[in-house]
Amino acid sequence: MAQYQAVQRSGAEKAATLERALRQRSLRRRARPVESIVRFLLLLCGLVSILSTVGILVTLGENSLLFFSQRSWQQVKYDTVERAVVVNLGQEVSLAAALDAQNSYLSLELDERATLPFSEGQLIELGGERMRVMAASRDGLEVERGVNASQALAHPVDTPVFVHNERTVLLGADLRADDTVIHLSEGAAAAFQIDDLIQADEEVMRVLQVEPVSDMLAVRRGEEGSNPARHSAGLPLFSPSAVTLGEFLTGTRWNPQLGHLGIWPLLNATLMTTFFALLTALPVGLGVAIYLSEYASARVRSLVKPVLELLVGVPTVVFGYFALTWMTPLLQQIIGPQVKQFNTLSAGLVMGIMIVPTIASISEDALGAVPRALREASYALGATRQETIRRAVLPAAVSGIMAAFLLGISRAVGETMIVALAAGAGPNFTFNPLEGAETMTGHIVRISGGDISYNTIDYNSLFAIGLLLFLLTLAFNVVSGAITRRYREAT
Amino acid sequence: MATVTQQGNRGSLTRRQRISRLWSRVYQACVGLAALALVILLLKIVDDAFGTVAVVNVVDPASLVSQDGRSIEQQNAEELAGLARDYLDEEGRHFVSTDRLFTLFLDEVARTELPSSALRNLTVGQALFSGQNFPQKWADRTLFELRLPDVARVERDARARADIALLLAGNVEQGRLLELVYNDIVQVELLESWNLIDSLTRQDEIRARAARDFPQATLEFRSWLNADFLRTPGSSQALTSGIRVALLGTLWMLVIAIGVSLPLGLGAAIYLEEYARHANNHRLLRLLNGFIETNIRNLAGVPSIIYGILGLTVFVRAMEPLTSGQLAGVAGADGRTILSAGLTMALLILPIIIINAQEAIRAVPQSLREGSYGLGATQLQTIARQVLPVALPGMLTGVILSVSRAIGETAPLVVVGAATTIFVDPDSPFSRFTVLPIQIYRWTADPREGFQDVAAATIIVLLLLLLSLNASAIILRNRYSARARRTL
Repeated sequence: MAQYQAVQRSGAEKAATLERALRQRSLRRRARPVESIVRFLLLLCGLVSILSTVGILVTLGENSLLFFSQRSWQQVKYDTVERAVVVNLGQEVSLAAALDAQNSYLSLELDERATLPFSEGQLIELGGERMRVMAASRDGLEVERGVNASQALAHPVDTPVFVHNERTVLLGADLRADDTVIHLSEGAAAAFQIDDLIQADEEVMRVLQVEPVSDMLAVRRGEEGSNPARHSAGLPLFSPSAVTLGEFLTGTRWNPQLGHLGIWPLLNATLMTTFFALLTALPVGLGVAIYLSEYASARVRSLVKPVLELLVGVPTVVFGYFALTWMTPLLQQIIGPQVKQFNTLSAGLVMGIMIVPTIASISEDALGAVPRALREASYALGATRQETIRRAVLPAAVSGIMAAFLLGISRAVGETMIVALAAGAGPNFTFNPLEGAETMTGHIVRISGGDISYNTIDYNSLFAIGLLLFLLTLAFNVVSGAITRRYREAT
Repeated sequence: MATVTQQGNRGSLTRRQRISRLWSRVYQACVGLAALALVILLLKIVDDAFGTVAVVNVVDPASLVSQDGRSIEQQNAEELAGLARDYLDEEGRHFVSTDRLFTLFLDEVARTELPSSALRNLTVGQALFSGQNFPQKWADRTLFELRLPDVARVERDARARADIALLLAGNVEQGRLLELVYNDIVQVELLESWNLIDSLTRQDEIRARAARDFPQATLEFRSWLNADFLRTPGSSQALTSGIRVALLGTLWMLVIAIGVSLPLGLGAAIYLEEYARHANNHRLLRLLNGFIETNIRNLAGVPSIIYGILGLTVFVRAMEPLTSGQLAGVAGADGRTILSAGLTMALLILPIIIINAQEAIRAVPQSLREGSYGLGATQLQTIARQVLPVALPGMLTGVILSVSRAIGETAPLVVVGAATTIFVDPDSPFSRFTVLPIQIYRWTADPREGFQDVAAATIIVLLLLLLSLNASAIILRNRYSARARRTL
């Protein structure tokens, strides 16, 4: 009996343990496949946004790389130093009077019929000193002394004058299809280095050896899939050139077709419109923010807020229409006919109107975050309302206002339709706001709006501009966002 | 001594208060300036969209009366066809073009509900005009051939003209022929257009100028925004331009953009708000979540034109077989289609949808979730039955806001390749397209007389569309937030 009871008890115990274990397991995390799948799908949704960023970066980066590595063939030029010769008379030029180290006038006394072998800006050389010609006449030259790291020296009468010339490299002799040595025009071999590529007509050659003394090059013919062909003497030679980043970032001419790829005309126009936009938007936006946060009653706020929201909701192309058909004629009436139909001033001012709500709403947040105690302390010290705002509230909110300012810049730089319509079509490096100048965004729209053919330099240049635009706005956004987050956390 | 100090203090105090008051006026003026800008903007648009126009008929309808003196409205199809025959395009004359006739025939044939690709290769003699009048020698000619200008040039003799008249009179209704006569023969030409304010205030001056400069012209008041404007496609003339194709294009693009970005955006928002913040997530996953979050903030600030470049490379070029419709069996020319535009726009509004939806989900009280868990619900059940229903109105508001962003965006679509002028309704995702803001851009930039007025009328349509969307968002928000307060 006791044995039976013991068995029964142990059986009940076993059952209880089993039940406990079962219950625990069910309370513990049970695998829920549906939940896991849904969760994974949702994560994928989030990852799409990363894909978007990756897409932007890869697209812009890849094509910009192509842009910077793409090769365009240009005539090879080389520098020569030759005796200055009056071409039509065959007369060699030398100093007509002694020249001391300070004098900037160099007397020549050329024949009356002589065609001058000098031009403004040209480099000349006398007894080891290099000078730049500022003005030239038959009697003499006005020069800048000791340029290009040379020393200003005294020169006696009859010192021969040399000039620096830029010459194009030409084939010095006929070239047969099976020749491997090229004869160049005199002194031209200095322009080449081993492993350089040369193009003559359709054929590409690679330089294997340079003979500077005899002006000869040893080459491998028919490089890069081209066919060796016959070329006659006097043919200009071309060498590849790629746009360098330095050239892109410092150049002041933009004309991809002609090989001028300096971003500054476009960047300058962007900066000008941005400047005028901020000049309008910052004071007005800040004024609106101060009014809303410090003065306005709830009723006034409920009237003003919708106005701002309406301004935010207006598509930018409508602002572009406004700039072109209202602001520009108005400026023409006020300033006069020197205001061109397309100008950066009008585009900038209207862009400012567009940005006012952005600056106002972020600044208002910043002002609202200033603790009430600060204002009350200021009033208690006898400050007027304006003094409180200027001395207590604004300094406390300055980081937030800075954030608004940066975001405003970013909006203005990336803004497209206003400038595409009102700022002008055609790159123009000018600081005159009454003239038209194309901005970076305006250029992208104009070029891609037409029937653009892929893989041309025009097409690839869009990506380089786009990349610069992306990086600029990203930088402003990130800094602005960081500031905003900081004061949000602080309050 | 004391008085002096007091006086000095009082003087400076009144000065300080005067300055303070002055500044408060300045701040007020700033608000006034912003409001003024909006008012002027709207006024300018209305000013352009209505006004007086001086128009002239290229051909005086009086010269088109029949021999027995009936006006063109009263003439029958045969007589009208005769007019069309007399005014066929010739060198230096632009009246009824063969293209136009071709379209007329096609419309007629289209009623037989044949697929449009088959139409061009049908011969005149086949089923389409069976039992109707057409010259026998045209029986073997396909409709496509009819359009070729060569046909018209070769046969610009009396006999061929008679044939055309026969074909028209036998197959096209009188009403459509009348329309043809009005649009292509009578032709209203716009000489000058005045703004609304000028039309109201300087009526006499306008009348005097019109009488001096255009003696034959008629002056009339015109609303550029009218029913025909909504119904007709774009045109090379301001007076007959309309936004039908652009409106349809906008709708197509929106459907695609929202269809793609709505599920993705809401999904991402739910993930980020409900799953990503778990304390027991793996460290790497937490890093990834943080990255997604930052990434979305930054994407929202990327200039829209960058999305255009992205769309051009990815959708128009790289995915051309898909976006041009080749994979779907459409013989599309290139990837510059509504589908590409819609996908580009989807990427553009995705961050906006996510951020708004995140805020809506964040606004759901934590107690609701805890209550649900307390009753033993799983996380998925909690999200689906508690969180989403409460967050829905907020999410919808965000979606509507992003829709209004998508409607107004122009730059990315220019880059992706909206067509300059198209006259055919988009009928599939693989059609070429134009949208409202693109039309505004083109028309504003068009220097010809009247096109800026057309742009203004288009702007009114666009703004009304946006306004109604935003109003519905606000109403939705108010209604649901009131209900949410009642139930909670």
